[in-house]
Amino acid sequence: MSVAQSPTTARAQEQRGTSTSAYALFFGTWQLATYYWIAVVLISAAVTVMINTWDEVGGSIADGILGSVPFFLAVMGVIMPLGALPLHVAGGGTRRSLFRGTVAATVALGVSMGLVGAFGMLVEYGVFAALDWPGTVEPAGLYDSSGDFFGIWLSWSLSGIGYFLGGAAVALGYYRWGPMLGTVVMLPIVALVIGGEIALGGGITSTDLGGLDGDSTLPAAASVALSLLASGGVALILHRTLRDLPLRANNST
Amino acid sequence: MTTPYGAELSDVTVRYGRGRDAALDGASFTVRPGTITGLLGRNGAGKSTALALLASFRRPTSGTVRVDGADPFENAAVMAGVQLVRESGDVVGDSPVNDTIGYYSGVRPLWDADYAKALLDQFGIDPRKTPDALSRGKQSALGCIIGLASRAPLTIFDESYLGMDAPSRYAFYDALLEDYTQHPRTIIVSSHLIDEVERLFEDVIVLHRGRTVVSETADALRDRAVSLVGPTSAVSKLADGRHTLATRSLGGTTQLTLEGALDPEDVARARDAGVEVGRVSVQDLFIHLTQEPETLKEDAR
Repeated sequence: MSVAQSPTTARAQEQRGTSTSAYALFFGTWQLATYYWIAVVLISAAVTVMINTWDEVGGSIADGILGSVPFFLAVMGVIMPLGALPLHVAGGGTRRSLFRGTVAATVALGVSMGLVGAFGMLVEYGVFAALDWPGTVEPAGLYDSSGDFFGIWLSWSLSGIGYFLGGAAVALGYYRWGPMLGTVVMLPIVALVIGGEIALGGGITSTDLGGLDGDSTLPAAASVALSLLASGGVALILHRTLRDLPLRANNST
Repeated sequence: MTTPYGAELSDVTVRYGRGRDAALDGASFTVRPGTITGLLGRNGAGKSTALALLASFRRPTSGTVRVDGADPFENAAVMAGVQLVRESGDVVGDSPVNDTIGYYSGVRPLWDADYAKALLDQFGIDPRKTPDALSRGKQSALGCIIGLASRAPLTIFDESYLGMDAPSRYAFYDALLEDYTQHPRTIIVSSHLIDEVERLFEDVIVLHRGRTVVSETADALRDRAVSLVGPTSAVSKLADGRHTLATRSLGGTTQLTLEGALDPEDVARARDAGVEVGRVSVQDLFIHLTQEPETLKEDAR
């Protein structure tokens, strides 16, 4: 074993790869998320004004519009880790460090996007309270009002984590296994992401699938645990997909 | 200080799918540490596949790959010392060049940021532009800059400068040699522009149909044949009984490429007969070594 291959060197390189990929995925996603949030705020304000002009405001507007946050994160999950893969390996990073960096970035993205979303809901809650409008939201496991800042933050963070990881796993699954097998691999990923969403209640499952989860009886801790379990399952699939993934010839991102 | 990496492929086979021809079919070669090695081969010979194995882009179907004495695949310490620059460039196409440079500087332990900046200036690349917005030549130059600034103990250029115009290519060759002298490392250059780059090569590996045809020093390869140019009758007399690799005639003058070296007596006889004795270019030998039987038959007609 040469000096260059000492365990210390290997550890340092793994850390370098993990932090570089996590940083790039987090800030790369936030570069686009900035525009996304500007659009979401403008749309929420415009819809609120329109409803108030021609009808009565009967509940939270932002709850529905901000429900698109997980989908935004799913799309970014499809784009970002797959885009970073050839760059990362060409730069001497391991797939292992890219996986760790992706997981770290996912958690940071989920928490930060959840925080911004919860803050937006809190602002809406304050405005609606001042105007004496009802701030009711779709039923969810961890919150029941647009002013429930911490419940919304936790719920949306967990949801965002599941969707971003799911997007990454689907994209890399198709890259690795092609259209047929990639679709087969996609099914358990989607099932896990939706399962996590059902456990949390709210989001896309609150209207169509809300009856399945019995959210009125599921304790908050169980919601969180089931959501984390589902995201852990997606992370396992992502790890299996990525750990020895062969890169295609002449791949440019 | 960089310690150059050696590399070795032993009986390596790579198949991209069941029923498909092997991209590498039992290929074996050694890259000596601290040399510039030319990896040559016709299209589909398996060059890019071999280089992808060295850079841990994939595993072989069978056989052994060693870089600095170890299996490079997912070996963090080894991968940190190997930089593969592909023709397409592994960059973030729709973000500023600065983002790509920033990523490499984050991952690469020996990255030289000042050198990268100087090269960007030299090749006229605006780091605020996206790689997708650059001309093909500048995209190629960006790849070459990444390879040079990586200071990786094993740096591989896989057809990475084909898009550059001639002045840019020669500027790259000069930069490569200068940096190689100042920061010795192992460099592998894969190229179809053999005439341009053969002056750089210390060792040459030739792949053909997934197998290794040549793996030796450039001088040993050049000594495999000799070129005779002169009056047709004198050249023919000298070639009598020897294996001729190639013949070109114009008027009364003929240029022959003969296999093997001439002994001093033959050299003296050649000079007396007005025949010029010279070395054969790597490109001419490469063409001979990788010529298909059908082409040889057509040449003979």
